[in-house]
Amino acid sequence: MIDRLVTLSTWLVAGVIVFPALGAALLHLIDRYYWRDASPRHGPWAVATVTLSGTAFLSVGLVITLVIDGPTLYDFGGTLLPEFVFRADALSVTIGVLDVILTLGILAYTVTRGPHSRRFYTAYLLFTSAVFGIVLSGDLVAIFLFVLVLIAVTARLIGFGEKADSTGGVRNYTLTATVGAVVYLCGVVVAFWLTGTTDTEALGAALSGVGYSEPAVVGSFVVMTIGLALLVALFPLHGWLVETHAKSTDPVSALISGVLPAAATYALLRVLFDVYTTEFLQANPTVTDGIIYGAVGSLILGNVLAYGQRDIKGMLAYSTISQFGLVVAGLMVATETAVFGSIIQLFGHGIVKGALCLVAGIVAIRFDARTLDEFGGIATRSPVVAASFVGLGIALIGLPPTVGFVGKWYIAIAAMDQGLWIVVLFVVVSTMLTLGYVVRFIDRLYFAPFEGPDHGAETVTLPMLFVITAAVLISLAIGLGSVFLEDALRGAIEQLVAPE
Amino acid sequence: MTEIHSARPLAAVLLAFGTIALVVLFRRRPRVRRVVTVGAAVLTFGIVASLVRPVTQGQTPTTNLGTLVGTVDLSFRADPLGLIFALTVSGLWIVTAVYNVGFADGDKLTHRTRYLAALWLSIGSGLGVAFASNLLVLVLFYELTTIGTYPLVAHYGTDRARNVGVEYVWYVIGGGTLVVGGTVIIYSVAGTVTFVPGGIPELTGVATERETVAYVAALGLLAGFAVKGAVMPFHAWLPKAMVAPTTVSGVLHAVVVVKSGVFGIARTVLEVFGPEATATMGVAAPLAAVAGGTIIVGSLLALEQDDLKRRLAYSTIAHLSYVVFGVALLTPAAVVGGLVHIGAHGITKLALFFCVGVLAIETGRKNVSELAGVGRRYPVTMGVFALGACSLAGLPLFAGFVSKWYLLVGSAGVHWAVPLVFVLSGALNVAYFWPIVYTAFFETPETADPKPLIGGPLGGNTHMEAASTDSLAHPTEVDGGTTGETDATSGRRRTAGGRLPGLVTESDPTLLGSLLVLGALIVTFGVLPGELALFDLARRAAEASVGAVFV
Repeated sequence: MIDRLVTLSTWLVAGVIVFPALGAALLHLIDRYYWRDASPRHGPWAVATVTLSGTAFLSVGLVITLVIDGPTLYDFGGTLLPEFVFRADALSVTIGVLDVILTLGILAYTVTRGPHSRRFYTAYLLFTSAVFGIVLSGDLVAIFLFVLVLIAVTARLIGFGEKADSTGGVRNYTLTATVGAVVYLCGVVVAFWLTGTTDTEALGAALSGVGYSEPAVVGSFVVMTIGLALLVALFPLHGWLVETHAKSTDPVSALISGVLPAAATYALLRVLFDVYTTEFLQANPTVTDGIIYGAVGSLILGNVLAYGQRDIKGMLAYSTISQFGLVVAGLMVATETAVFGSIIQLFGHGIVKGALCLVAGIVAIRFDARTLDEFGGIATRSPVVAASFVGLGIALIGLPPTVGFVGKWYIAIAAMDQGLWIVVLFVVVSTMLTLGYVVRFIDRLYFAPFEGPDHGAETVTLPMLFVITAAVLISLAIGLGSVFLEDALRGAIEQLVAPE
Repeated sequence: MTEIHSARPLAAVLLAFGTIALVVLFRRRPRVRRVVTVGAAVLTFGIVASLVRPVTQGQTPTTNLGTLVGTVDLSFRADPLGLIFALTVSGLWIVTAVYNVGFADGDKLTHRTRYLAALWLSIGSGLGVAFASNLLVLVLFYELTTIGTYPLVAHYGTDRARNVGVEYVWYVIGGGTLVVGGTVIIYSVAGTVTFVPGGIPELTGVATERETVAYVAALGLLAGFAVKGAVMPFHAWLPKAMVAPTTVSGVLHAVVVVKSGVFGIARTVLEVFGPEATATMGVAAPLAAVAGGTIIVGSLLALEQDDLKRRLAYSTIAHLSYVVFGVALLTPAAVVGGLVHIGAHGITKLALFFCVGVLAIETGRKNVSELAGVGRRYPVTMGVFALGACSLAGLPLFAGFVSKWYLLVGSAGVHWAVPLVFVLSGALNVAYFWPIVYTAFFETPETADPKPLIGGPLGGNTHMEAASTDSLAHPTEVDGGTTGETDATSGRRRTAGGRLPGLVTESDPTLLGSLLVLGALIVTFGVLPGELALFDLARRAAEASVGAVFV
């Protein structure tokens, strides 16, 4: 029985990474040799949809096998690529599922609004492959390689932006993100030089042998963390996120805000707990505290800067920076409760922020509204979109009973238990700040007079409305049913935070 | 108290939330929506009222939906304290739903679907606050009341309404966030946030050992709840929120929302920290002092308001602190008085707001100085207003007397200043309500004079001087002619001097009907307090936490 399950999950793990990539390759070939670069309007979209549905199916299968099979890390022993080891637990598939949900949801938007080209959808599919690659890799170098792939395809996706100068934006993004990845790799090299391995588990064991207070060990940790913090877009390394967010088309922004930092955060989580472990964090309180203060600083400053934004995409970008400050702070508190809080926040934020980006897109399609002042009076003409905005906004602020509240609750409880008053205080303050910039939009939506153009209700399709409404419902469902998620993830988190 | 399983506490809350869907569903059929609203209100009250019998028999009907987060259950329970609030909310909501039928037409409200849905959301979350069995569930619904109320405050969409709306959200979400902070601390140190009459046992040790932590938690909870309870210095939002439609000012800003704040304080003092810990931590005395100060200052500020709704708002601020004061005194009788005042003040203040609403619709008058002689044209409206004024002043035979009596009895042995606060506040109530009743019934626009209680010359003016320098009295005549005109412009079916003389011509039957019901309630409450469940429930709630009442 166990054998069969392991075999099945081996296939599933390989499947979620390879299947989207195969889809991308297939799309490329069909377009080249069958459509001959004149693809039907919805052709690439259809291929992407089929592929991603298949991936969703596989990832759900993976979730089920992993949850049934319990918390143990699956070691597939390098059967797929030479030297590289893949591991899966409930946490990795959480991020994977987030990616699948978002990419599928976004398809409902791009079907009418595009981009329609084959090049967009191949990148789109490879994005999913890369994300699954990052979250399933059990090797620090493999993570680096998948991050490079992710950067490359993200750059391609950003290139489809509506802004004329998006090529400059692409170059900046590629440069910055690659620097982050390389900095991370430097840390990995140091760790390899110390221990002779880059496999997370073996490295973890070897590093504890070297000694956690060894300057080289601490140095490698700090360098890796800085590299990853850049990819997570923590303050003050956040500039690239704001810029790319503004320059990308809305569906791509949804991915950039929802999944991209989440994948990097996942890598950080692996580095923190698998490689360096909580003992390392306890042995180096200065480093731990430093990162916590950095993260809560990001939490507050992101929110303060979001205040200054009158453009909705800018507001959402800074809000992302702030939310990931909270997530990383939760990870650094490093208790089971806190890590669960961070995971649920990560997942919930992905859904909520992704949907908000789509709402921004929908509003722009129908009303040409991008800035705060242009949002006036939209609610009377578009009640579902406005109500969804309110629902998602409430989740973003973190009011009960949405997912945003539950995440903050767990992180705050854990921080209290560890005596980290500052985290609790900043969580409270950031709630008020978020409220401040979200309520401005709600006020305009409902109570300001309508002034802008209206391209008609038919510009917004039913699937678009379905997707954003579903996001609101998901945020409510997770808020009320977080216990079920906690049960599913408990084993994996225990394994992570306090092995044995 | 034995806990029994019952779906009814949850059913009441769900019914209210479910009606939101119906209101939206029937958005194009106003008549159906109207019937649904009143029907669902009656049904909700029926469910809540059916809980009275088991609760007075010592049972605690509970719906437990399982874990919400960590070890905290999503559980609803009808205990005496919660049932007092739930009865007040659901009972007065029926009256409001009926009143609303006439009010919405008379006031020519727009966006009625949003308006009704938001009202139902506020009511449903108010019931959730009442039936919440622990702090976290209470917080959940406490924040939802804000979400429901915000669109109502900003309803008219004017610049002022919008600014006030945003300010309102800042205030109350700020308070809510403080409450969340306090809840986090309590959960962290005690491991549970479930209400226990007399205080959470796990918390009592903490209150003595880790004083600072317990103090910060208490401060977070009390200050957070005090925002909605409009305890000074967190009161400034309430008079501003009067920019909302009068139904909203009545049912939410005299009953549901503001009472959820003082109710939260009662829960915190009686069933989270418990009377003993509250006293030993040294929280009770400052809380009582702040509440006492709010009573006096609020009443004094009420004197200065010419705008009727603002005068009522400051009066509300003062009377909300009656509840806080009673709870903070921690003597059984005072607690009973405070809790009964949740209901007594709710009924009374709602009646007063509804009178003001009728006047605004029928005459367009919103200021005290414009009311000379209106009592002759609107005897029922101003008659009920007079009843309400008597009740809030604490005159015997009216609702307000019952609660005040117990507050006075309970305050006897505490400190000499405490009874003084009540006496002084009673006098101030007379001072800010009597001029209204007097000018409405005993003056005409020609003989009206300003009535500055503060700032007027000592000893007063002679009548002739006052009349000649009269700048405040409204010049228009108050008679059938003027109101007939108003009726015509507002497109009423009824014209002055229509089918029936007197009562029916005064205003819409739904408006007058609800006024009369409230007037009858004020008197019934005052004459037969024992017959209404509220009193028994308050006695039980106090007994469970503070001790038996020997009165």
